[in-house]
Amino acid sequence: MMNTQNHIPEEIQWQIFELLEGNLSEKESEQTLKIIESNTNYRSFYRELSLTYLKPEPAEYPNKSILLKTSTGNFKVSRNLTLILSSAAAIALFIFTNNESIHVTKNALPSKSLLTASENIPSQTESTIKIVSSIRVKPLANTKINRNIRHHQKDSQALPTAEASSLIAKVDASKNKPFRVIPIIDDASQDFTSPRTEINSEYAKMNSEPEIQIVYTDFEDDETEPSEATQTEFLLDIAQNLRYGRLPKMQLVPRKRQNHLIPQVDMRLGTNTRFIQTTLIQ
Amino acid sequence: MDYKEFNRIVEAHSDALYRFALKNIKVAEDAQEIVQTAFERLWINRNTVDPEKSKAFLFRVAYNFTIDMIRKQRKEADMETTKFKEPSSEGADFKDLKRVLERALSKLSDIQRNVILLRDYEGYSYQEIGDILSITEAQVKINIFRGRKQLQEHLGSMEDYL
Repeated sequence: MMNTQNHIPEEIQWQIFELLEGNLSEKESEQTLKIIESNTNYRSFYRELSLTYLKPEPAEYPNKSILLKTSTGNFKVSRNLTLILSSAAAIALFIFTNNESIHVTKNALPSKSLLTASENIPSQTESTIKIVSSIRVKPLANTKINRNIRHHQKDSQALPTAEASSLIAKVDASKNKPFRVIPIIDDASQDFTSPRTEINSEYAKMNSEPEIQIVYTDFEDDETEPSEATQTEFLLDIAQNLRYGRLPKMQLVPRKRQNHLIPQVDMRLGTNTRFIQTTLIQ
Repeated sequence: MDYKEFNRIVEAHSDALYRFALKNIKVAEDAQEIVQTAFERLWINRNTVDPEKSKAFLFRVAYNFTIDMIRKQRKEADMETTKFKEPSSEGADFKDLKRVLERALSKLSDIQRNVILLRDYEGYSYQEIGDILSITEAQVKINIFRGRKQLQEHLGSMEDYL
């Protein structure tokens, strides 16, 4: 076999191509086949070109279950673990009362709307919401954003690991401060609509979820505004990792552009991404 | 689009999308990332994407993400001081047509490779491919033609090993 292209006029090459692509009528096909039969080079070219048509190969996407959803905005989580984890959260809440070791963010001024919604919060600087959760999830696909998040692992605090349920939750349970603990589920195999959250009475007085911002420091240029796509991916990662029932309104901003009027969250992943810790201090 | 419709689309197209990404990127983990990203984008845009056109949407996102990834890989490869010589295109490794085609396919330009993948694997029309890759129908056709000619040329040169 030799390279036959150089010996064939381009118009004939096109004609053979059109034949193989199925673009010719029956009559045109017959004529073209006759032309091909009339010349050895044409026959070789036709045969070789016909070999370039790829045959579909079976392929199975291995992470299909991660993509499937059970209801709008929610990801599949385990019903079985809900009770366990909620109980564990309650226990942890009791055990770790007043434990301040997880305060990783700097205080920021509270949002006006939040203050309006929570009249009974003693003062702006004292009112604190902490969402501190642990998680052990099947690692998601190694997304760019996940890789970026992992850069924070060196800074993260290694919370102790509980057996089996793998839930560790720490909250500041001061009675005067609103708090919420979100149970985290680590089994994506079963349907679940909304995780049960533990809140105290102060938190219950709030009319809506607070708007928060995530200060993200992993941009190459800290002054660069994250693109919409980056924000979306990042927030989706958070949603998937945390499996929030209700995702707070979140905004991703570079540190130098953080708005101190909006409560901020500092989110760090633990070793091997087994848990995620978020602390919201308004 | 509700979650049931979304799940139907996942079941219907995730394998094909994975194959498309894998043929382009060659690394399973990267291909999985591409698929996940495409479906995330679809979910985000579920209220604006017509379910009937979801497959094209997914492939368009996957294609764009793939191209970005390939460019990045090339850039990183260029920066490496140690260059590994690519295995010779001759010899025992290329005794079957499939492998020869795989190798030849990887040598095509991004656009040529993708028009052929979409055409052969997914059976898309020229117009549909054009919509996905944001090129005209005529450009699709000529890229398929040129791509196939390059594949044919490669096959011709590998005759002794086939």
